[in-house]
Amino acid sequence: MTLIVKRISQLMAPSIFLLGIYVVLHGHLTPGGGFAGGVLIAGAFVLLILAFGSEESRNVVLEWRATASESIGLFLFWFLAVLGLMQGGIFFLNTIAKTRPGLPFHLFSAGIIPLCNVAIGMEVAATLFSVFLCLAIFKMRETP
Amino acid sequence: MAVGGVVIAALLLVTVRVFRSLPPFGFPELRMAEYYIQQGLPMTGAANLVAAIILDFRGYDTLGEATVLFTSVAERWP
Repeated sequence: MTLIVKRISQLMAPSIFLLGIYVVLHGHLTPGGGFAGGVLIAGAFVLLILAFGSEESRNVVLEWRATASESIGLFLFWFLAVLGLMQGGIFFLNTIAKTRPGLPFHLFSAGIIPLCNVAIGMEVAATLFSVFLCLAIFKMRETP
Repeated sequence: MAVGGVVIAALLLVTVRVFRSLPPFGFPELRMAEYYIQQGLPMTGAANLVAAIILDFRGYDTLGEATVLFTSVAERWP
């Protein structure tokens, strides 16, 4: 890509990344949540790869990080689901909201919902980015 | 061709019968939505009602969704 595209995407990608983190963290207060924020975070990386090409961004974007983030996110989500089973006897029980309710409309409220949002955000961001990698880069590598 | 047409006509007739036996639209009233709207904030503490529903009342759905997404990538990853 040309210099203009590279510089503009360099300027835009951190903002998109931060907006994604904001949407994920405030998923239980404002519209959005894990899926929407995860898509935003993945979009920042996809924008960088589209602008700089896969060879140049190989040093920045490491594939094992995407794999690890994806696995950790899904494991965290399942762990939170099983936590309700262990503590309250019901799968997906919101145990933290029962013991420590917190004030509504504050960041630390709603029990496991923000934690679930963070887990889904990690998982969706890494998964969508991996889908992009699979479709765009690994295909080329397999058939040179 | 003719057999297919007969089968499709029979399916359409069965569909008409099935739709006639369904209750009319909006009846009986959906009481579950009212319960969610009234009890969403007191029971979960989440200000965003959509988050309260998809992550607390119907968390199974989201769990399956995330797992499906993970599986689709895990299958294709080299």
